[in-house]
Amino acid sequence: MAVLTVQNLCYGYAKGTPFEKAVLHDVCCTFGEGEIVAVIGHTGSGKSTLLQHLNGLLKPDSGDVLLDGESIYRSKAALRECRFRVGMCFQYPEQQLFESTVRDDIAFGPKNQKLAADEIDRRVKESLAYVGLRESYADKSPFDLSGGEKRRVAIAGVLAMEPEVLILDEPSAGLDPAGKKALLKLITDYHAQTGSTVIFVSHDMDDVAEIADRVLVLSKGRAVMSGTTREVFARADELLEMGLGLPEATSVMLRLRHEGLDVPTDVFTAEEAAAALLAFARKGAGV
Amino acid sequence: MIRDISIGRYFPAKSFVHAMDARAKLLLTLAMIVVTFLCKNLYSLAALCAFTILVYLSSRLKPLLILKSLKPLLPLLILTVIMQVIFTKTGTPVLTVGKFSVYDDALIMSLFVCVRILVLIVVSSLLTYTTSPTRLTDAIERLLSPLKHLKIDVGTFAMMMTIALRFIPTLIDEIDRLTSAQKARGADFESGNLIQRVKSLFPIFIPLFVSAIQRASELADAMICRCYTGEGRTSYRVMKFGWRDAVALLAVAVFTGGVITLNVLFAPLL
Repeated sequence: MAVLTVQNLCYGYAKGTPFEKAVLHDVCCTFGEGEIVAVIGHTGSGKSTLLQHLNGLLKPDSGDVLLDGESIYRSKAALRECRFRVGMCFQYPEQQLFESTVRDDIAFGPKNQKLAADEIDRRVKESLAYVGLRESYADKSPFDLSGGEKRRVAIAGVLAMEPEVLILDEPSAGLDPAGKKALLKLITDYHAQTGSTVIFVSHDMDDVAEIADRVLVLSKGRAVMSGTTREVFARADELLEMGLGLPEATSVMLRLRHEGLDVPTDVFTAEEAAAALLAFARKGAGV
Repeated sequence: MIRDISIGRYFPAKSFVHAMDARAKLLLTLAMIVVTFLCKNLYSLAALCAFTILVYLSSRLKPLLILKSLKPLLPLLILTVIMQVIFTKTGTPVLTVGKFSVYDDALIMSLFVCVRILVLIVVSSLLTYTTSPTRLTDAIERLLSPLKHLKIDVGTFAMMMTIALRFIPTLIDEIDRLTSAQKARGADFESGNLIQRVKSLFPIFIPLFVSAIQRASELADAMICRCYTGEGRTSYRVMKFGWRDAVALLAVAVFTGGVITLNVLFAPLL
């Protein structure tokens, strides 16, 4: 069942000035319950703008966003409720930290939800655990942490609200490979434990291939492709034409095919590629 | 939204005013501000309005733009009128309600003050609307350059202004972003009493200052890496007074003369 439905959404910036710019044209898409959906697209394709509609931070010029079948814009109360049910983690979220301790910063969201003190405390501890930080971090100042740790604290601040839908805008941008890996694991762990829907933007197609169930492709403000990860990456030519990348494994297979080897190209992760190549080598040896 | 603020922004276009020399524009804007206060009777005031509108139209900017930026002034104008009506007690009463009378001097004063404020805003907005910030600071630097003889570091001052202007849009974007991020965590900026509202701004302004200070130090490093010393800098753009500037100068001079003549010909109201 679809948790979030976007209907014919149009949006433009700075209307009525010479800087007017249409960003989204007639975008329709759905996000199913418990899915991990990756949103990919070229810089400026409207990914971030689309995400900001999903929890009502932006109001569309026309079209609607439905949460459990009801418009999130129907009233102020509905909009506020939607903010708590759909947790949004912006690009470089570490820049939004402001409290004097990690504990207080993570508690900012739950406090706004008007939760009881012991519930807030539980959530702070739990979300610290989710992001893999020890409880001793709770009393540190967020400004004393390293970049990667700050990022995790900021994500914990969103997780602490226990959103049904978690949205992450380029969560792994600017992290080192180990940090990236840890972050992906954090997302999949959270997804596995809570069964919540996860929507994320990424430029790293390997990340997308590894964790996404479905992929939504935006190009110039339009939703041009949507389907399972397998279906979308099978349309390699179109993706390349849009200036998007492919998973490393797929690129390798396509190159091998180009060189005249009869290998399968519907391969998206390193493990799959290894298995396919092994099978190919065995077949070759058998002949 | 904060993006909708148009005061102080630059709107590129091709027009007579856009093509003028920034120095001329700056000086003529100052002249216009002085003339605004020279108007002493309704005729010169009408001339002032007409000339201002004419100048604005010659910039080919949409009238809607200036109306939008004048809109926030409305409360100030209304307050001015109320103050005048309450406290000016000279002239003849035009309207009496019980013990309270409105005098004609109050209305005339209100009119003059409102028109002056509006003209000031239109004229100074026009300067920033039609002049890019870099040109404007260039112009200020050139006009202040005689101060170099007094050992005042005009170049550094101009650089500081350029940087400050350059980062206004950046900071506005940043405020936008932080507001969204904190709203996503359920921050509420629209309800509560004054103290609660001020408090609700901390989650925006603390990270804003943190990143602004960080950015300033990065910018300083980047400037040093490109050998900025603040000395012996020349300008890429050559400023030239052209025929447009001569025409504009003449127009403002004629207009100023006209206002003075009107002041002499007709009795002053103030």
